[in-house]
Amino acid sequence: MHLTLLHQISTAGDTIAVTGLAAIGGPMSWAVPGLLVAFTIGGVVAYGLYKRRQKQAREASLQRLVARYPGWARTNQPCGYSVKSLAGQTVATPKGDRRFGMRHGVGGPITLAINGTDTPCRVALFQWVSEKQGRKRTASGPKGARNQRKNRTYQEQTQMVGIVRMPFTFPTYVTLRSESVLGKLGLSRGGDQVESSEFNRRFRIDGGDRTTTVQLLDANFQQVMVERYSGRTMQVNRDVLVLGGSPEHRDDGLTGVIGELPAILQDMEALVGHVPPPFWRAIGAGGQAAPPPAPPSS
Amino acid sequence: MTVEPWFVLLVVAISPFALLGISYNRFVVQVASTNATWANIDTQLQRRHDLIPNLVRTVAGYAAHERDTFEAVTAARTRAIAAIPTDVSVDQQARAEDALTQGLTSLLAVTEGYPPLKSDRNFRDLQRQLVETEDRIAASRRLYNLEVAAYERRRRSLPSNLVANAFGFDERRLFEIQDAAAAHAVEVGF
Repeated sequence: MHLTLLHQISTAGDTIAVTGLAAIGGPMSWAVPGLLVAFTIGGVVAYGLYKRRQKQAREASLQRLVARYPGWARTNQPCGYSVKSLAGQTVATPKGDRRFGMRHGVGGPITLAINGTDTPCRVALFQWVSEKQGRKRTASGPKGARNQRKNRTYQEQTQMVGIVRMPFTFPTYVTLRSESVLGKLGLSRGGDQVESSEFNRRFRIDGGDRTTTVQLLDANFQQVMVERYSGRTMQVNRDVLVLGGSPEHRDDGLTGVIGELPAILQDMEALVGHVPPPFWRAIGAGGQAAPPPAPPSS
Repeated sequence: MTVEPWFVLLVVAISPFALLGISYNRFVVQVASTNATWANIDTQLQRRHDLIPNLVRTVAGYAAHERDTFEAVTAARTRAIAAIPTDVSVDQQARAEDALTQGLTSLLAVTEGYPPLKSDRNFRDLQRQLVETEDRIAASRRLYNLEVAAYERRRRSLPSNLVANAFGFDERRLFEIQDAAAAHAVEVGF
């Protein structure tokens, strides 16, 4: 078998590996490991080049995306909030069990139609990364299962996030997230319930005030959430509206996850447009020119 | 470990009473919750009734000859207040409030012909308060109807309907009225 391999290598013209191996201890015993080493090194180099090219393509995409909107820039402080202050504070930015952070952050000023009035806001789009702890069981020792040892492993979890910072403060919070499996089956549902059983099946509602919650979740908003935002999270809290989860569409002109960022912006604009006027009136938003929120501090 | 027969019998004997108690208590909680949300509606309706005299007075200051409209609104308000007591059915109260909503819509339509009135600060403030109150009525009504729907679902389904019948948990009616805020908000320029 070794002779055959050596012949193949020679005919392929790969004389460097063969010559080196022959000098050490004979070509027949070292040909296969040498080949493996060569392939491994070649693979690593190719992978490195591929990753580098991907990174360059993402950087170029981010630059193109930022150039589309006046005043936008890359950011590592979404809407002026530091990554640390966002972690665990919204449903779309979990703290995880070890590390957390953001990637591909872009943002800038935007004008949204709130309660029939063009309102200057700030927006940020990014990918949130957190690590969740898992358990890996390994058997050690002769008894196997009796001597199982628990090792900690961490899995990286990512999700796309969009944040709009409003020029006013929400008096309470409302959070929509995917309902649990038991909740989907109707066996155990926590949180508030609304009229649409389909909405209740798909979303779990947590709100600080039930009146404000039902003012936000009118019949139209329930339908929009079910049709366009199933599987995603939404939260209004303090002065921000946060939309988490991947959109159903993307901009194919941009590389990788960057292509999802404009789609998130579109989804956020549409979502704000569907917020019912009674909700805006209840919190005293819209209807008058408001100063834009403070720009992010460096 | 063996279970004593008397213990099994005891559990079997007690279980129906325990389930009965749990079901009864859930009805009590639901009735209390329904009453609380209804009280919230009453509060908001009362607030709307209180705003109307001031609104009529302000409009009359600019359009004194629209007497028929003022009288219609005032009469509707009187009927709506008369429908608040607990011995009046929810349906009757809803129809009285609908009549008041129609009267208010007519009153606000009158103001379209009087630009000085529309720019009157007092009138604009009253109109804003009216719309905010109607928004709260709409939200309270939805909360009440959600409570009633959950209560009625339990009251009519097995086995909780046995408890409802045994302890006299009566039927509750949904409170269905026109969405006044939607009709009146168009006129409001915040």
